[in-house]
Amino acid sequence: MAEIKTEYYKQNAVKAIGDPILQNALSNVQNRLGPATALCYQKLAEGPDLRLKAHKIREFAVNNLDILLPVLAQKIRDRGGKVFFARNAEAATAYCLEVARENRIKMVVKGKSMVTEEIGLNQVLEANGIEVNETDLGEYIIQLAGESPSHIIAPAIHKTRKEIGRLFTEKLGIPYSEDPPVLTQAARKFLREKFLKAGMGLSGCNMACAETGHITTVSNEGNIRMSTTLPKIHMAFMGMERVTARLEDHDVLFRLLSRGAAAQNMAGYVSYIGGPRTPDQLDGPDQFHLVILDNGRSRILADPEFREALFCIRCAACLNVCPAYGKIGGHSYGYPYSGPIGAVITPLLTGINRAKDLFLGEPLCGACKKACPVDIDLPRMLLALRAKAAYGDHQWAVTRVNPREKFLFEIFSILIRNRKLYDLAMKAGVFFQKWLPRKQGMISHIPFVFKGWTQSRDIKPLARTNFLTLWKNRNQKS
Amino acid sequence: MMPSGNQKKTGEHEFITNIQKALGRPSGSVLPDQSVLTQAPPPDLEHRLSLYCSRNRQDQTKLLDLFMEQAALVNMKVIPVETGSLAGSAVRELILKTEPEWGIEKSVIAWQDPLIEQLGLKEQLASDNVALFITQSSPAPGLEEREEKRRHLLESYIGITTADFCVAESATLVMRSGPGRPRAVSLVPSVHVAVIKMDQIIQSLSELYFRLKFDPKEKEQGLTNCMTFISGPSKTADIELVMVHGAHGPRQMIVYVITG
Ligand code: SF4
Repeated sequence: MAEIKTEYYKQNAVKAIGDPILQNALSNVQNRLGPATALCYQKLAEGPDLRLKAHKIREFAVNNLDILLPVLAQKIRDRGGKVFFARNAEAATAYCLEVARENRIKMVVKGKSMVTEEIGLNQVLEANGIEVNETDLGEYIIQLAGESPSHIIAPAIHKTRKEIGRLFTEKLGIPYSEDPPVLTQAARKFLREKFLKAGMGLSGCNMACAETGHITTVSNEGNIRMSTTLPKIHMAFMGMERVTARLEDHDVLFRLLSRGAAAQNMAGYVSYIGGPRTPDQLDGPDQFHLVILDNGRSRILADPEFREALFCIRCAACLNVCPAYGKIGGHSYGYPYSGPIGAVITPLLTGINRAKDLFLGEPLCGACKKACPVDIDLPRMLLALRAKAAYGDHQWAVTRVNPREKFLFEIFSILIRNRKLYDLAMKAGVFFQKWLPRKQGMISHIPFVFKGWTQSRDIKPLARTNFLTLWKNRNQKS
Repeated sequence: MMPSGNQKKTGEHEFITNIQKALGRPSGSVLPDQSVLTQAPPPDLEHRLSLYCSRNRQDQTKLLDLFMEQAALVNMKVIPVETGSLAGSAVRELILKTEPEWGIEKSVIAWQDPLIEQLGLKEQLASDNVALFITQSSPAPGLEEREEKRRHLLESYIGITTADFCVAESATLVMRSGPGRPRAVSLVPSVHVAVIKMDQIIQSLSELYFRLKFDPKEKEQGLTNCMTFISGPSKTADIELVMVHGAHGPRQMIVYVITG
């Protein structure tokens, strides 16, 4: 399992907001990808409503997972591939390790895959003496730096070219350069050796197709094709929801995925992989393994309120428009999945109480829903999570996040139903607020249970005369 | 050996039962309902197929124009040539003026394919100091043969393939793997050259999937164990979102379209 650091959300967010380089990188990503994706949707022949069709396609698949997955597995087995169903992260990593050991694998190459981040595969393999090489340039950079990805599709956006230049000088021993082509070439050269030597290639799966029995991998760099073509073994990992029923579903989904992820008409490389090399072929892996992962997904599936989260195709479009992500960056979310989608699925996968800050931190502005290529109602689910945190929930084992909050709201409810009491309380507020510290006419600190209100902002003082009184006076005059 | 067909060891039974529970369905071995998977052939099947397969010269030229326009956006060079042998001399020129990325010797690797044979590369390159490897293989190539071919591949800085289809709207070449068509030829060399006939250009992804699924000719071959879409040379924008070509795959990609 990936390390869960969701409880440090606030600290990490504060740090991120104070980091000018990161702020610059984040706004760069959002300014470039956010509007470009929106424009791409507009330019679709079918218009942006194609997203609704994609939603239906994903809904249909998720509602029929019990039928689609066995069919997918059988078709892959018919071609000589092996399929393993992993209930949790431990089962998945253990399977991978077992195959690696049996085949005496010392080194693996890896394409970018969120699900392998989720199960903490690299750590397990490395702890068992197997060298893991991330091959996506962004992932490679952060692996060299010993960090974790901060964006679903552009994992190293938080690093500047200068930092990367210094990193490459230190780790690869090349002369310092901050020229992206030179740095890319250095990684290309270095990783080429790894591709050729590795005994096993690991990948994720963007979207499987049950009808034909294939997984698909998508990249722009070609690293996933390298990882899945050159080594003797290819093992792919997929979340159990990443399947569609029919081949033609991929038409809509790939066009939208490419637009959502990188404002492209089509990703550079898409491969349909359905089994190992056949005896008449000259290349391709001798073994093909597919690991299908649950790891908490069936629980999400069981809850109609959150089932929709499983329609996600991990394109990162919602990150590119989210005002919260745009300020606090991916690391604050404390788990591989960041942004609005992370704020929904991380709590569902790792515990709602523990990860409560993630959904409390999202502003519910609705931008993510509009950007999502499959029109997932993320704001609705963020709100549902907030409700669970506020009231507690048995099914998800949520305890009330803040019992005091309930007490305060009960008092407020009494006040607001009683005119006299309410006016009295307001008067008291106006009276007492003169002792509160002020900054430019705003109250900068309220003590006791109210201190959260002024933790990161100043608040307007209560007016001496309230609106109703003003209104009355005005009407009397005229 | 790893567990294979055995349901218990693959974890499948428990896993699927769990999903059935989550979906609120009776658990147990539900036979896959094929209607979930396939769609009945659309009523206009014949009509659509015949439209696709009977494009006239003018339609094809339009598709070629669209393809060229889209290809330019993804840095893929498209060069229409009238005949195979003209394509051959164009490839020769390319070889003469392009330097290898890794070594100094010039080797080129090409799929064994009737269309590529039309280029007459062997004759074209006879007097040049260029090694030409063809991916011809025995019906079931053994390890030794495969390793030899892999050496050829690694020595080559230009890889020449054909494609099964070319989708104009997204500038996508579609290739299925098979005997004599190793997938790495379009991947490992620094330059990828593809040769296609003009009538292989189709309109859209939706046409592609339709033909793969419903055209009896394509259905027979199926998607194979590896079908790849390629839309332009390898690229990355992972360093400060600056676009760089040639991350791991080919740095340059050229498509010759034989129009004659
Ligand atoms: S929720 Fe939608 S926008 Fe966000 S990553 Fe998933 S598919 Fe993309």
